[in-house]
Parts: sequence; structure tokens; C-alpha cells
Amino acid sequence: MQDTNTDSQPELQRIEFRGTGGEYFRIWIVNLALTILTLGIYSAWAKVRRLKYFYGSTQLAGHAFDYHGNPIAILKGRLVAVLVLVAYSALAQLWPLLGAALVIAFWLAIPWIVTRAQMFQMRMTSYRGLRWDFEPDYGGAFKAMLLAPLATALSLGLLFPWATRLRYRWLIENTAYGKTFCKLDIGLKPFVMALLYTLPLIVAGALLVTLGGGVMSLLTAGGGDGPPAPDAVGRTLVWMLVGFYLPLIFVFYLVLAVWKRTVMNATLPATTLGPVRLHCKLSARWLAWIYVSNLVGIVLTLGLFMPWAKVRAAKYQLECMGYVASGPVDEFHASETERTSAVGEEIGELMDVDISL
Amino acid sequence: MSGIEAQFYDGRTSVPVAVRLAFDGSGNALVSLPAEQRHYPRAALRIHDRIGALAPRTIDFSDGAVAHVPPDAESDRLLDALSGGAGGWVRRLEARWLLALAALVICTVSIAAFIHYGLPALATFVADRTPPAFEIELGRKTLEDLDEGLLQTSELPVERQRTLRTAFEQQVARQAASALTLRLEFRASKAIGANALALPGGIVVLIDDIVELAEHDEELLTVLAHEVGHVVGRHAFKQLLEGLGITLIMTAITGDISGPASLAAALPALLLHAGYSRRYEREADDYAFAWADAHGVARSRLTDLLLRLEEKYNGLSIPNLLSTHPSSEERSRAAATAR
Repeated sequence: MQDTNTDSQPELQRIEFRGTGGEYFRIWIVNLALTILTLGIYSAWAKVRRLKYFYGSTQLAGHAFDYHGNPIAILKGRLVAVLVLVAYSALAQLWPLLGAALVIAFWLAIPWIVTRAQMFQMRMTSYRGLRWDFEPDYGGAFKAMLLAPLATALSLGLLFPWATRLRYRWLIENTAYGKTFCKLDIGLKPFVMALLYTLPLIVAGALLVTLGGGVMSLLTAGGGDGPPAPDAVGRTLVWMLVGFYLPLIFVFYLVLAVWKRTVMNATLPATTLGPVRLHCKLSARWLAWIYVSNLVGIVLTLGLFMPWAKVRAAKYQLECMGYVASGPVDEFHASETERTSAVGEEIGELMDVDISL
Repeated sequence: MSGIEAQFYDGRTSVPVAVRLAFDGSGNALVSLPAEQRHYPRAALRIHDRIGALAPRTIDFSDGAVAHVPPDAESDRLLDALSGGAGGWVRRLEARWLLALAALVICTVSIAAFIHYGLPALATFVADRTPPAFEIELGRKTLEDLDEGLLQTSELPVERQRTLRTAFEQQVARQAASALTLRLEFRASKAIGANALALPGGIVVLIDDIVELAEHDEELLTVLAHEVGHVVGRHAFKQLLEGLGITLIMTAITGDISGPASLAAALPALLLHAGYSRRYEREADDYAFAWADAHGVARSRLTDLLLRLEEKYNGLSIPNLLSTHPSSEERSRAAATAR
């Protein structure tokens, strides 16, 4: 029945996100309590429930995504990651020189960690019963994660658009749905534009911070022989918050919103997956509003607003995305995936290695 | 045989098929596809919990096929029964606001208790087992950093410095029960103002302004005794460890908000840190008062100086919650009581 549609005008299929903040709050807090009561062991199960909730609430063309992570595998990955970290800090403590060598070793290991994390994440994601996959392209990862940033630094930032495109190309073209790989056909222009749009904001932000810093030092130094309150530390903290961090955070979110809108709106529609072309239409204004209002909500509620914030951000961004199919979407086939350990993912999570789009 | 409607995916292609899943009494499943009938023994099924009122409930089959069961109370009952007696208990916990509230209380109480009792105990445990050499090195490094920014060379006459140092060594430092060697340093600082600091490893820094503000040397000695109280309790080092602990806890709780939103977590951390700080200030005050009692010095010497400090800097007052020190009023009250 559905196949008769393929002749007509290709239709945009949008993502529908069905989760709500209240529901996620209950899931989050119940699982946090269980994690505390089990001294942290339940955290792996909590992570799976959290991700299953977000994936299962994401529907595209009437089909829900699914997350297949195994709590035991995640728990093992976490244990190994913690052991690696403890061993690292103990060694670094005893032999500082070895510590320095280990920092370099960790830096060199970033491509491996990122690749393993991406593999785990993709292979644990399914849609229409097919698993996603990620090709372990370590050479590409080395180029995208280490060489390109190095080249960017050496070129004083001139190569930044090129380096960014390289990273996206590595990320997207190694991603497969079943055995069909994604293709990214994109020029440098959107990345140059993203830089040009955000640069004035960054400069304005820097000016603001300098100004805020100046006002702050005036207020705290008091001037002349009337130096600051005896409680200089506390006072400085208050002024740092008002004059420095708040404007900085605001500008940061604005830059993030403009950057994300420009890059995502260009990259996803330039991505094809067999007969499918992805779609994305984010608005920088909405993104910035969601970021800032979420932050205000989280601060005012001492963190309790966090689940609502997360659902709002996910709902808005996901519902701006979708796909247009120029042929039948029933003809994707599964690939033979092997098992992937969660070690890379958990090390990445602990060390805050972030590669998200 | 009881059955439920579901969306079936065979795991090999992206073709969805609407099917009826039938289960017999022992949980073996029969899937009726257009072309064939598939039998799955109970052991070949993994029935997942449904998470979220509008999300499908998933069943994984051992051959890689999946079924998505749309949300429906009747299907939930059947699948809960199949997945064993305790099936769906977390879902039932998550479904009720009252239980979520109870979970919130459990989380808040246990995190607060850990931060209030557990973390200081842990910091003491670690501090007691850290060799003094490590802390001394840390203190030396801290003073080096301060000298590059906030602190300048003292402008006090050498003679005055010598008098104070001798008094410090003979009257305050010698009696201190500490594995650390106490050392007095003089510095000038515009940024810190009239103050004294206790760094890790036993270094006590006296800022010129407070020496000038003092009207009697006994006032300065009580301030120095207060700082020695910090050294004896290894407060600077413990605070460092506690700060580390709070950061770790905050990361664990907010771990699933990405990036900058976690900045928001800095606020409660700041408040908690100030709380620890005030606790140590009170401890150091108690040490100073005990020292004063033992040396026939009036306790009011310390509070007199504190009040004069407050008068001098009658600027912006910081709410108690954010302040790193107890209020002078509270400290005077403490001096008057608790002998």
C-alpha cells in the first residue's frame, strides 16, 4: 500500500518527540534514588532506562528508535574506565614525569576512544529493526581529531572551517544504517559562514568580559587606602558571578546557537542515506532562547528543572529534523555487526571527550 | 492463547509488518507473518519494560527480530506477567508523582548527609594518610603563585617583622601540636586587604594592613593563633579535597546534561564550599580562644580586631550563605560563651 506513494512528490517526514518533562523528571529522580541506594551499581541500568526513554520517545515516520545497550556491558565499561583513571592518577602522583608522558598518551588515544564510543553508540541504536553502525576508521579519526586541530592552531585559525568539515565528514561518512553508508556532499562555504557569523559575537563577548572584568576589579579593589572587605574572597565571587560569568554564559549560548544552526542546517540536508536525504531547519533564536531559559530554570530550581530542560532541548531540536525519501525506504539491509565493548564509551564519558554534532 | 497487536521487524530489512503476537501459557510466542508463522520459545524472548507513557514496549527475539508493542494497559499486564513476578516494578515507581517526590527526598537527604558528614570525614581520612611532604610542597607552590599575583613584598620595618616573628615562634607556634613546621611570612596586598592566611603545609601569611590595624600585639597573636588552628586542623588541604569531592558529586548527578548547562551546578557547589569554610573558621576560632585562655590573653582581643575590621570595611555585606566566614557578631557570641 505504501509503495504506491513512491511515484508522487517526495514528502517530508518529520521527527515527533513524545517525551514530556514531568515524565522524564520522575524517571530521572527514581533512577537516581535507586543508584544512590545501590551505591552506584544501578547507574548502568539507569543509563539504559534514560536512553531507552529518549530513543523510544523519538518517532520518525511512525517508527520509534530503540536503544539496545546492555547494563552489564556498561557496568563493566565503567569499572574499567574508573580503574584506568585511578591507575593514571596514582602513577601521575608518584612519578610526575610519567604523568606528563601519560597525558600525551591519553591525547594520542583520543581518536581510539572517540571511535570506540561512536561504534558502541551507533551499534546500540536501531530504527525499523535495523542497527546503525560505525566504521572503525582510526586513520580518519587521527586526522580529524589530532592533525586537523594542530593544523588549525598552526594556521592561526584560518584552517578552522576546513578542519570542522573534515571532522563532520569523518563522523557522517563512517556512519551506516544497516549496511548503507551515509554520504556527505558539502563545500567549505557553510563552515566559513558559521565562522563569520560567530566571530563578531565572540569579539563582542571578549569586549564585554574585559569591561565586566574592569568594573569588577574597580568594585573589589575599592581604590586608594580603602581596600576591599575582609571577606574579599566571597565578595569577589559575587561580582565575578554578576559581572563576568553571566554575560559570558549569555554570549557563549548565543555563539553556540548561531554556530549549531548554521552548521547543522547545512550538514544534515547535505547528507544522503540511499534514497533518503536528511532534513534540518533549526532557528538560532529558538536555540538561544531554549539554552538561556533552561539555564535560568536550572539555576533557580537548584537543578530540579534539569529534566524539563533536557526534554525541551531534545524536543525542539529533534522536531526540526526529518528526511525526504526519493525512493522506497523498505529496502535497507542489515550488516553483520560484532559485539563492541563499552570501555571506549565510558572512558570518553568520564574524561569528557565530546564529539557530538 | 492470549495475543497482542504489535509492529514486527525481522532485523534483516527495514520492512515493518503489523502482526499479532500470540503467547501460550508458558510464554512461548507465535508470530503470524504474511508468508510464514514463526515459533519462539520463551527463552528466545527478551521482554523489555515500557519506559514512558507514549513509547512502544520492545521485545527482542534471539534471531535479531524486534517487536514494538504500542502503549496499552492490557498488553502491559500480559507482558509483565510473562517477564516474571517483579516485571515492570521500576515503571510503576516512575509512574507516580508521590513516589517521585519520595525519591527526591531520598536523593536530597542522602546527598546532603554525604556532603555534610561523609565528605569531611573522607577528606580527614585522606589528609591523615597523605605524607606532610606532599602538603608542604603544595603550600610552597601556592605561595609562589600568590607572590606572582595577589601578594607583594611587605613594607613593614624589619625590626617590627622580627619582633612579631619571635613572638609567633615562642608563644604560638611552639605549643602547636602539628607534624608541620610553622613558618610566618609577611606580605603586602591591596587585593586581600587586612587579613591573614593559612596555606597548606604550615605557612602563615600576615598582610601588612592587619598589622597596622591592630592596636595591641595580643590582637595579632590571637589572629596568628587562629591561623595556627587552621594549620593544626590541616584545613586548607582538607578544603581542597572537599572541593574536589563536590565537583565529582555534581558531575555524577548532572552527568547527563551536556556542556555548559553544568555550569549551573557551580552555584550549589559554591554555597556548599562556603559552608565548609565557615565550619573551619569556627574551629580555628575555638583554637584561638583556647590559646588565649592558656596564655592569659583576653578572648576579646580577637573579636575586637574583627569588629574593627568590619567597621573599616563597611562596604557591601555578603549574605551569610555565601560568606566564607561566620559573621563577627556570631564570633563574638562564641567568644563570650563556651569556656
